Amino acid sequence: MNEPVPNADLPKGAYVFRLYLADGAPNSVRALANLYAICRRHFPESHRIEIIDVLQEPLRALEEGILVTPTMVKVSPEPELQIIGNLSDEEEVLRALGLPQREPA
Amino acid sequence: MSAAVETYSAVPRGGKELGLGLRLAHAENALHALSSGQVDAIITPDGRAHLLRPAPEQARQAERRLKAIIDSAVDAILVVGRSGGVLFQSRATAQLLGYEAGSLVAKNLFQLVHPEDLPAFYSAFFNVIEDFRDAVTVQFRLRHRNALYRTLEASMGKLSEGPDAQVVVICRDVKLGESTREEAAQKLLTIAEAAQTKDRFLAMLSHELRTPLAPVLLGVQELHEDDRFTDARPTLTMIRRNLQLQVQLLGDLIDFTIVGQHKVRLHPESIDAHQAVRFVLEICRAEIAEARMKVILDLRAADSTVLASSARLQQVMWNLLKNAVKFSPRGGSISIVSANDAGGDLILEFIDGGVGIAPEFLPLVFNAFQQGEVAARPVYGSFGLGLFIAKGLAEAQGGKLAAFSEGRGKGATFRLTLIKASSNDFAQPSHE
Repeated sequence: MNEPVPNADLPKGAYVFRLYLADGAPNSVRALANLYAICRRHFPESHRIEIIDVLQEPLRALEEGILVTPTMVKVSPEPELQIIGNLSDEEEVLRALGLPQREPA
Repeated sequence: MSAAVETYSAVPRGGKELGLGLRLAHAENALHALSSGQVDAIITPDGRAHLLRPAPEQARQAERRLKAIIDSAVDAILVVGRSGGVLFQSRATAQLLGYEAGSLVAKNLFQLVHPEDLPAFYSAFFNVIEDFRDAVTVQFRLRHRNALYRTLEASMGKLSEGPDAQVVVICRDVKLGESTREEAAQKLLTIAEAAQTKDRFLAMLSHELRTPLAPVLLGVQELHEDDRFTDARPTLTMIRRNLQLQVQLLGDLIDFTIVGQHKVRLHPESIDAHQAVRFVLEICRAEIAEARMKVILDLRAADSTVLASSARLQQVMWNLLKNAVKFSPRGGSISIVSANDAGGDLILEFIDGGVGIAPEFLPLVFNAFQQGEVAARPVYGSFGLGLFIAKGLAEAQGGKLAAFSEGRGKGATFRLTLIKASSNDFAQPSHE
């Protein structure tokens, strides 16, 4: 389930997201799809998405202080941020992450 | 997308040791996501993840609409599990079965069905569950909360499959309602009226048929006595006999309609029953002689004075005597025995050694148009009204008439009970 991508492959300042989800549950599936889409549009060359299925690894979610799924954590660049929900509204997600809401070409 | 504008707020992670402010911010965001339907699992402090059923706005709207429909239904809608457990009850269940909101849930519906109706109910229920039929309707009694059974009609349909199969049972009251009951009453009334009309018609017809016979009978009688027609006398005798029979039959019909309508008006007086027996015997003498029968009188009652209507009492006796003659073999004998019972009333028994009465037929002997064991078959030159009229007239005089027989071929006894004449009885207004 996890997609461990070696850090070395990523350029400095790349976006690393960790998505806590419940595999197969509708909001989780949507959140993952939305996150992929956002990453591809906005930083296609410099992102990594790490997926944690809380149904498989509930203790890990607990350790990280995750309360519900889907929860997305922006691990880098600093500071770490977390957003809860299915990430359907792309503009809102970008604003919450403090990113410029530019339309992709 | 229904996600609100303020749906997403990014909250700093703040490392493993979260401050209270951050914790609250996380919790608030989680709640916000939860309330907008964007959460599908919750991680609890015991380290377990719990999947939530998603309830998107559209689904919630549909659900609300469905609930409104279900709640406004007059029928009680139940969802019942395979083993009979009630999983859901609609609002109308309170009205129909007395179970207030939710109080039927988790109870077993099968246990509320009337035991006699359970097989039919099971059959319908499992026909639906096992997919033998898509939907069925069944009528059964279900125990109301007040412990009384109510007759319901239910349609059933399957809601889900498998070992956890659920069935929707929609119950409504089978109203043997006012309208149906009124209809039944109306129908009865119509039948009664028709019967009365028939009786009236019969009475009128008998009268109309009998009236012209009187002068004809008189004329035949005159011709019969006329010496000029001695050659024709046997024919005239035959004509006279048949006319007399016809007059008698029509008289029976008239009496039948009168007795049948309880319209007999009697004027009871104190009369000697023994004397009445002898008088009737005198009238029937020719007939008895013709049948070569012997009548044995054993009139041993000490008090033979009864309260009765002279003409009607004679008619009763005459009918009983004719009946005894009719059903006895030629050359047989008939006994007429009298006695007083403990109360002083007079008992008169007409005992014959004739064809007798089969036990199963005994209760029917006093029915109109009943004769022998085949009803409404005019054998022996009558309609089979004699005993019906006799009983009606006996009762109209305060008396009783009962039939006894040891069985077919063992003769019959007709017991006439007549009330004794005393000053008290004259005061009684009940004998009309």
